Amino acid sequence: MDGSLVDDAERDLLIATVAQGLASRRGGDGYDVLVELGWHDMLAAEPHTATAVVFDALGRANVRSSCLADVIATALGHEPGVAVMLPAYGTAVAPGVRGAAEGRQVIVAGLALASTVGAPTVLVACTDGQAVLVRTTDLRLEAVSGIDPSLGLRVVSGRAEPVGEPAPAPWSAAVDIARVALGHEITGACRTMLDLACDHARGRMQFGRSIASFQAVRHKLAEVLVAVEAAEAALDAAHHTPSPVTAALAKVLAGRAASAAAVHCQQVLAGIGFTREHELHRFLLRTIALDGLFGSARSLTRELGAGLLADRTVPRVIDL
Amino acid sequence: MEVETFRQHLESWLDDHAAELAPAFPGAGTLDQQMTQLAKVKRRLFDAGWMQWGWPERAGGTGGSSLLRAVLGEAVTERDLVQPGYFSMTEVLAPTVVDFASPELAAAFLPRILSGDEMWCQGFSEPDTGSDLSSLSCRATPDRDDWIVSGQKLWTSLAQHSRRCVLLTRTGTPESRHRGITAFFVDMDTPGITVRPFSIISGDDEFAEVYFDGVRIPADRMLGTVDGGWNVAMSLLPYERSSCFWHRTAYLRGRLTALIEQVEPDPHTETVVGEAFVALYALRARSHRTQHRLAAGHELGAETSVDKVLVAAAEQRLFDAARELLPAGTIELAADPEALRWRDSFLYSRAATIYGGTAEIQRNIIAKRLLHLGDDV
Ligand SMILES: Cc1cc2nc3c(=O)[nH]c(=O)nc-3n(C[C@H](O)[C@H](O)[C@H](O)COP(=O)(O)OP(=O)(O)OC[C@H]3O[C@@H](n4cnc5c(N)ncnc54)[C@H](O)[C@@H]3O)c2cc1C
Repeated sequence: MDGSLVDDAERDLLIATVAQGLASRRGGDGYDVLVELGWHDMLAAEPHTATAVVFDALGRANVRSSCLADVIATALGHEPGVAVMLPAYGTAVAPGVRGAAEGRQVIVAGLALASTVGAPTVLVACTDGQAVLVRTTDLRLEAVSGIDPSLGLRVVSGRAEPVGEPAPAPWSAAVDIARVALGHEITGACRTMLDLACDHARGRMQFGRSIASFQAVRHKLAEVLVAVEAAEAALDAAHHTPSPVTAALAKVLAGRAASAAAVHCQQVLAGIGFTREHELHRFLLRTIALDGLFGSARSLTRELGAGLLADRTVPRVIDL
Repeated sequence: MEVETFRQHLESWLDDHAAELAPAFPGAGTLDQQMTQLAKVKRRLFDAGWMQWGWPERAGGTGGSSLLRAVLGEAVTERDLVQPGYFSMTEVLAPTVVDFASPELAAAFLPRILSGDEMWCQGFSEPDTGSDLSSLSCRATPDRDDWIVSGQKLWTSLAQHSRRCVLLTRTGTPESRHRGITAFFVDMDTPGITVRPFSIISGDDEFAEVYFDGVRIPADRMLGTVDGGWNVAMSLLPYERSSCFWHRTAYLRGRLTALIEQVEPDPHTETVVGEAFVALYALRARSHRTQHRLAAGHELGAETSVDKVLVAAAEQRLFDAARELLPAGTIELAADPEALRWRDSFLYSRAATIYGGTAEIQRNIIAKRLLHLGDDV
């Protein structure tokens, strides 16, 4: 899984390998599988391909992992494998505030992935542009049951002593890459929702024919595909033209695809789509939970609008 | 030529010639003014060699990537030098002529549309034929080496300004549907053709009815083969959704910029502007992919229906935002050139879910061809 992955055939092979590896972990954690497949090496060698392929696969398979911590750690100049604090839900604010006094305790408030439990230290990016490691035992980690308990998030708070020296850390770069990674995970989940709804539509008979033949049903599913393809194009753009704006737009369009998928796929699946008997719920609930990490589609849309109104100009964003 | 080099050289050429390229009228101008402006800009671009880039050498082009055409349209649209829809007509019709006309015909005529000497029009729709294009009935009958055409076309944009028409005719039985259609490249001054312009909702005479009464067309003006017109039409439609849409993103960006200059930030306006921007960018990101697919030699097909849905969403959302956020009465009451431009563009944006295949037809295509949901009832 390391080395240069340039051509389509290699990428397709990688996609297939990762999907196969994650298949048995639906609803659970697949981090060990990905590490076994060489995730860390690939993240170092081919960060864009690695992030795109792995997060898309996690979304499609409904598998959680610590990969998000790895992409953030890498962006902050650390090795992958370290536990990392995420911002509070619905925001992209750095989760730590460093005290002014000697000793410089860090006030921590945010979220963490399940793997943070049991990690000796956790990396905290602070509002002053520094990142520091703190001892996990100094912090309160509460499991979130929430709308998607299998995501395994923890709400973290507390005051902690720094371990070692703080180092400058580009939080905004971490935010961008986290948004792109989450965008892939959300869009991957949308692909599965769309597949599930299309399969159902083709097989379900009513009024003596397949419901896939009803235009009201077909147009809903077409709507989802358009939204998903737009999100995928925006994710592509976030890789070929990385910037805070392309990253935010990619996360917004992924979130919108998820809203479209949730509404229309659930409607097409109808009764069975409203249950936990059908797999749809896993993906639907996961995308709702992920939408709020690093800023939701709604809040980022407004932020983007505010940015345009402040600058009084509309950027081209991407060029041919 | 590298895309980036092309862009830089083009931008500096456009800077140097800004004064002579600028329109001589304020706001959007009348249709006639726009036509004159379009011809002038294309002529200057052609004489300087810009228009020919991205078109095959065998048809009088300079060669190079089709991306160059997208970049050129973007640059002239960004500078408000042309009405993007009219400039892009070249992108709708010329690729088909290049692909399906005889090499001599293509080489003779492509330079004429590129240089602005000629406009061309698209004669597909008829009074009884809209979405169901395969039902068309304008008939062509063979007569020795010629074909004789009789029938009517409708909604033919800018027919009264056009010297040629890419025309679809019925050559098979009425029941032959898409198997009995033949395409021609017709001179609009041929005896027997009558053009009756009429106004679109904004008031411009952009549409026309075109009547064909025993119109004689030489056989060498056929595009493709006898009864092969469906293929011609189906290859044209994706072109209508590629470079043109990239040009359109530049136009919409310009309008969004003009809008935000007049809007005060508050939580609501920020959201409305943000939504317009997101919809525009969704189109741009998607179209970016499509431009690269086209440039890489992929045959465009049903997947461009996604682009069409996105263009309609972007355009209508933007002008809905304009209607909501512009000073009260701008679109509804004011009469200065800028306000008129807003009104025209607002009204025109309603067509985005109609032309080039309606919103519903695009979703039908997506469901059948991209999601493989089989036939509808
Ligand atoms: C600005 C503009 C420029 C145009 N320029 C040209 C041009 O230059 N040349 C040209 O040939 N044509 C042109 N057209 C015509 C355009 O292609 C047709 O208007 C379009 O194909 C729709 O046809 P129609 O108007 O007859 O509507 P109809 O086909 O009659 O459709 C009416 C309504 O029924 C819906 N409908 C129809 N069939 C179905 C179906 N199977 N499933 C679901 N819904 C359906 C449609 O979506 C629509 O909402 C232009 C149109 C516009 C608005």
